[in-house]
Amino acid sequence: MMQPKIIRIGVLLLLMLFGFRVAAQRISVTASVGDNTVAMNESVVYTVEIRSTSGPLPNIYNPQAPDAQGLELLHDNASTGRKSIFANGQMTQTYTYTWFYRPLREGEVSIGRTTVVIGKETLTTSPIYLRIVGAGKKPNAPSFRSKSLFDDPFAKDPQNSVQAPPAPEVSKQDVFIRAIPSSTTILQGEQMFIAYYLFARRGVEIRNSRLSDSWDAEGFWREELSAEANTELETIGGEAFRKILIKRVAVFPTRTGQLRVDPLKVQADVSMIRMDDPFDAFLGGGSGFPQNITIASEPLVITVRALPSNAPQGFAGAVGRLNMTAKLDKERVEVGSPVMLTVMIGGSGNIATLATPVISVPEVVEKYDPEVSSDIDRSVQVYGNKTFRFTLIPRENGQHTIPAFTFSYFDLLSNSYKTITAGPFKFTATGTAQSLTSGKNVFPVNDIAAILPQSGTWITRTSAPLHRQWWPLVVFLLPIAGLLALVYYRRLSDRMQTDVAFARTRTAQSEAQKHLHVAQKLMEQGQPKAFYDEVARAVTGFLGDRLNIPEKGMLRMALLEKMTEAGMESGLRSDMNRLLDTSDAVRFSPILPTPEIMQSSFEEAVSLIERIEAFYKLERKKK
Amino acid sequence: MCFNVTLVLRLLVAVGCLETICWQIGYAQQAPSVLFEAGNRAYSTANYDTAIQEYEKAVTQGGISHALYYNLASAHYRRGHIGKSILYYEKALALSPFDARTRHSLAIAQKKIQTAISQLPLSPLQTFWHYIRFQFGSWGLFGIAICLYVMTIGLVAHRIWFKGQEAWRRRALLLSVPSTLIFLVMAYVASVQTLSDHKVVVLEKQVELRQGPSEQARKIRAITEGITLEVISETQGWQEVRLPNGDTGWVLRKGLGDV
Repeated sequence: MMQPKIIRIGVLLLLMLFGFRVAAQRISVTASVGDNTVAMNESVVYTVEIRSTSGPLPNIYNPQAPDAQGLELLHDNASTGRKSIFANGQMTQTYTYTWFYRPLREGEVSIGRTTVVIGKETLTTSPIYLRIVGAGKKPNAPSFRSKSLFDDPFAKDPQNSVQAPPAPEVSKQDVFIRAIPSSTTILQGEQMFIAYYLFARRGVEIRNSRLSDSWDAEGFWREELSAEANTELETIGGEAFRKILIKRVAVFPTRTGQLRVDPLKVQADVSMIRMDDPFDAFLGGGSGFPQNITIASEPLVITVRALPSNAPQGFAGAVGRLNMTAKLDKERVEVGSPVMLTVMIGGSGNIATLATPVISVPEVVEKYDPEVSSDIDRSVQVYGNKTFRFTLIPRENGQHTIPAFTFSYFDLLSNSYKTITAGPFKFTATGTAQSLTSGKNVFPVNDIAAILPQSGTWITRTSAPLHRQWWPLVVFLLPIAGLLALVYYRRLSDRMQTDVAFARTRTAQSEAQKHLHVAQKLMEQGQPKAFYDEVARAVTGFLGDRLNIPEKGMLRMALLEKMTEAGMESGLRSDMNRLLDTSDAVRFSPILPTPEIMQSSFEEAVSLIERIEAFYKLERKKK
Repeated sequence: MCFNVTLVLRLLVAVGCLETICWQIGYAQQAPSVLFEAGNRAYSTANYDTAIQEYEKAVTQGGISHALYYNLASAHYRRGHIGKSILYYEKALALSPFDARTRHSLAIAQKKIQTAISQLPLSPLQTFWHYIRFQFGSWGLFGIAICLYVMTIGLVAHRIWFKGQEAWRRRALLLSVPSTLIFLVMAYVASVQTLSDHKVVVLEKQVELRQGPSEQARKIRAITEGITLEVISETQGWQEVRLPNGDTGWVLRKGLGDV
């Protein structure tokens, strides 16, 4: 009890402190409610008014609805109003912000302060206290308005304003929901429809309707059907009602017995139009304050009967008017490539819950879980088809047969079980099993790929990583070795072309061997003159190459002198001289030598070349 | 005569023993492939437990092959052992990183992980390097480096043999020498990384990631079966791991399988 007193004293002090300043600015902010005693079925109208008597108001930042205790704000957005009056040479401008609150409980309730930012000024209203009474217990007392700190002293006292008569209350007879089932006794799995209609008496206005609770139908599979919001007029008990389709649903019972369908609950802001006022009625009705109410249908009880007991083997609960088609996409395929078997079950019934047909395949054909797709029309009833696409992969070549398979359902038209058969399907796989491992990458969409039929290469141990192997280094070094050899060969080649003495030395041995080879052949052929000619060329040519004597200077005397200069022993010189003598003698003598003499000369020539070579090797070593 | 009979009998026994040893050696050598085929037969009749037994026997016999790991992983997948199926798919992928079949099946198995952990986004450079490593591997990169190296050697040989300053050869060398070096370095780094790539897969339904290698250490989060973790270090039955999202922590070694 002390707290309101303290607040009042505080308010008074604040009024004394700031009252003059605000008055000077001539801007006032007031908060008010339509009535300080409100019935539970009424709404509280809370208005914040900003008034300026000193010309146009500066920029106003939209205020937020204040918090309230015992009340619930119906909408965050305020309805706004603006008014400008020019009187006695003075402009008065007024802005209003109005919010609606719904009482949550009876007793004392309050609405907090509203803060309004006007230009650079921040103004705050006082809290407002109200009393909520039960519906129909509202006293006929005059309403009062709480004064704001910044009230305009010249403002009209709302106590004197005329209150509108209370709006008539909305009853269950004015607005209600009816659930209309297509049947109340059905078979398990049979399709049934429930339509929910909202009925509203003439003069009832419904706004902001929404489902207030989750709707459930335990024991049913549910499919929402499209519902066009058409309004029809229907007469009930001699009175006109608007009939609005709000929900249509197809349900399929999944078990037998008495199954309950929950009521459909809708929450809406409902107001009655005062049709007794001809002026209001002419303008479409002067509606009262909206009441937030919950409208619910009656629950439904559906009797579900069991299907006949003579169900065929493989029956998986399909009920309706259904059919099945199946086809293979190709009749010839390579081993390891896929064949698609498409099975389509369609018609009217619970398409979504249709079980996957059981299909057997030969052992050498791999079958993957099917890719399932549905195409369902939910406009009038649940009608459509469900497609199962099986991927089959043959692992061996030859002709493969997919045995016939069946689909059983309970036909509602003939009231009996029906079985549809599809197949058998045949296809030929060509190629070899190898293509399975090295073929195209065709894998099932939502499943792992087939296992590998061949083990491939067995690894005895995991090989060491690259940087721990020795042979990559060898691979890198080998080309470098080749490159070095190339450099050597290039240099040698260059010297052979530029250094004649070097080139002759390098080729001396091979040239001598060539001549000796020819000489040997001539000896075998019995041509002594030509033989000795070749022997002389071999020996003098070798010596000339070794001593780098030009071709023109290779006379016997010159050669012998060069041998002496080179330091060759006298025995070598005399042997050379003797061989050349023998050669000259044979070439210019009419007496031909015997083969033994020729053989002896040949061996002597070979020996001479070897001795000269040995001499040079010795000389090189000495150097 | 008696002596001779004994000698013959001894010889027969010795030959028999030798034959048995040889047969044993021969059987042991062919056992993995025999077991592999037995596993395949069991798998084709949807007898996945037997298939797993046969494949695992082949692994125990020392058989290592991409197909064996792949089929073993598939059999585990069919039995709903997601952790083991991912483990063996990862092993198969380690042997054959380019195999599209294994990659496909691994991706399918990973979809079954109950609480998947998002992969830490990689920088563009990391993404590029992962792509290169995955596509070529260290050996592939080394092969490219060798090709470039041979080309470089060829250009140098051309320079030695024909001499002269030719512009095209200079440009080609300017291109081939750094390329060779880059690919060599990449091959080396990729090879070194294969050793540090120690991955484990969670085989139990759930393991706890903790802040330290102790049961008393604070729990960070739970990791579900099938998640692949990167091992950072190991100590006394605990492994320090990095999750795909970059989080690190310690898990008990016993609930994990080495890739």
